[in-house]
Amino acid sequence: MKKFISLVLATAMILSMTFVMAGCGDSKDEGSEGKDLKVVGVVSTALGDKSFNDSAKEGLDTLKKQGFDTSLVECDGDSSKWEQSLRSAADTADMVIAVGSELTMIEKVCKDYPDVKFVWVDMVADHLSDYDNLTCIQYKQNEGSYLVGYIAGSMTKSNVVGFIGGMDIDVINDFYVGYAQGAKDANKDIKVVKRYAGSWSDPDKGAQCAQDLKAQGADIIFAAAGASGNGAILKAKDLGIKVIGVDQDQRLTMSDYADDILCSMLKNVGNSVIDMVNNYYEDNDSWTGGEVFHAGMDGDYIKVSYGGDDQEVIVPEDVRKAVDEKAEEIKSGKIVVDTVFK
Amino acid sequence: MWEQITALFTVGLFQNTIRNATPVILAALGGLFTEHAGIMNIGMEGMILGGAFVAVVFSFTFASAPMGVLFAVLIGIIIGLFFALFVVKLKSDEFIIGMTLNTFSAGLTVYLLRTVFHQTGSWVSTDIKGLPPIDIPVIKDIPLLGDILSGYSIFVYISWVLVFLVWVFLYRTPYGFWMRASGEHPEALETAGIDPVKMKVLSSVLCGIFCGLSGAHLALGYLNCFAEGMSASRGFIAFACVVFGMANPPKVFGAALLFGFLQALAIRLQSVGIPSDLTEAVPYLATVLMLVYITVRGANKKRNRAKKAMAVQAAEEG
Repeated sequence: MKKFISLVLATAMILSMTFVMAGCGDSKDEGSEGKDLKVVGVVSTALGDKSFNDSAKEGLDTLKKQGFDTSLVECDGDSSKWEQSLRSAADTADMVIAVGSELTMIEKVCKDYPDVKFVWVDMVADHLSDYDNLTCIQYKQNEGSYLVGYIAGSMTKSNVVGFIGGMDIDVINDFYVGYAQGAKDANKDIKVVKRYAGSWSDPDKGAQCAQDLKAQGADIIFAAAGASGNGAILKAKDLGIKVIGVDQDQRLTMSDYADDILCSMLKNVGNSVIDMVNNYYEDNDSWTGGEVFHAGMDGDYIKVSYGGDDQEVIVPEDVRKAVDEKAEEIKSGKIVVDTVFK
Repeated sequence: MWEQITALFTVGLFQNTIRNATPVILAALGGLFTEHAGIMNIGMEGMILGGAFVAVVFSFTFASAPMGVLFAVLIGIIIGLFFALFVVKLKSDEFIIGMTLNTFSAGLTVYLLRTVFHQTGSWVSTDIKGLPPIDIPVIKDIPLLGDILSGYSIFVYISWVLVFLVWVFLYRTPYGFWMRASGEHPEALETAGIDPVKMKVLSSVLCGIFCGLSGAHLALGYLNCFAEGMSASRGFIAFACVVFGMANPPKVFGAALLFGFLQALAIRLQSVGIPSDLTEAVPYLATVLMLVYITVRGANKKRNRAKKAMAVQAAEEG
């Protein structure tokens, strides 16, 4: 009897685990028009950050609606899955979209699959020019961050603005240098303070960072820390601060808390993926293997977003106008924004 | 430099210490029961996560935080019974069942979150009602102490009271005595006419309840949200605290506070210019150092005792 019970329970457990796998795994719907290109996305961490990864997912969903055969694999931050997932994606796909700076083994994988095109989002491979089937998308987050920094600098009352980063890595520091420069251009006496949450998925850590920055006087905080940054937004009202969102328009993705979010710096991963895939599909020769694609304010890959049409805009109109002017000056090269990338 | 160091020790640091410590204290108190009953329980991580998820689900459906807490306790009882069924009744390996519970809980919460509630990653909504902060009448007016001790959710105070209650239960009631006996010497307990299996099941259920509370606090006590894997190894830290505090409630409480303090300090150390990768490691480094200290001190004590015994023996013989 005991054996029977344990057998039944064990089976139930295993079954429910498989459901979970199936739930998270890829879904394959045949597109309406059926375009003959299979695109597989590999996410190094997991969906649900309501910013970076979800934006990539949105891009793939749009591609599916356009008739491409797309699917998505999440690795849940498990480093042992990264290479496997890339390889198994390359086995079936015509194009692999690697999302996440951790996927450095892509250089090794793309050598073994010369017929498959690889796109690496948000990171540049060390020996990129050696591979003509790999292209990297690098975002000019420093320019967008300059603009939100300018907003923070114009709107702060305490002359201290804060920054929360997910981790102390180049991409995040690129946000930081742009943000600090923008804030200083708007307000010479400003002090910029920063904290790293050390995690992309711990809202509690983000809230603690926000509290700590508030204690140093910051009244506006730019959170570039994935789901950890959401903790800062949840606690914004209690702390008496305003937060600037990142990657997606967080006034929309966290609409219950729109009053606490000034604006968001959009890093439109989705759009860049969509354009990349469509360009390749329409004209195979447009493929720029071995080169970096710089996604900036041209093409709206990077921009500042103030919320949905039905939401009240918090940022005053004169600040928004100044931001538009600054954006033009950056585009024309009049302002050169600092970057940590060479 | 000195100014920078003193600047670290602000009210916020101690507030965050208490905030970090509370879920660990609650879970570790639960772990005390199973530890004394002779079960190595590493499944607390999953129990906390389950509690947090259920608390958020029912707080959302009923728009009431107490309902969330109630159901978190209920799920704690169920998970505790489930754990006991395998470990005590069916005598499976407790390590494997603990790990299974952790992965099972992590997978199931993600699955339900995505399929039933259509949320990925984190679930944020103003309909998830949290527990209101409580100001303690007299203490809140004391300048510094008031800010540090007052203004948390009720769980923080409950956890302090529970430390005392658990101590009374374990060392001053027959049930506590039987529970400890069921771990140390089950045969003796059986001879006395008490069923050790029952005591072990009770310990597991109590652990489930405490971990359920811990999860409810994590989800509703401060931020009012659920995030996938939000227990973030607090269950393992709680287990470490149980071992660290030698399964004694006040010592375990101290261990949890120390850990909470180091975690809070880790974020602050960044302002002195220490790289964040290094500060992240501070709590764990400190734990290792403390463990080394305790072990060395324990070994010294033993050696001294042995020396004394030998001296006494020598004196008697001489």
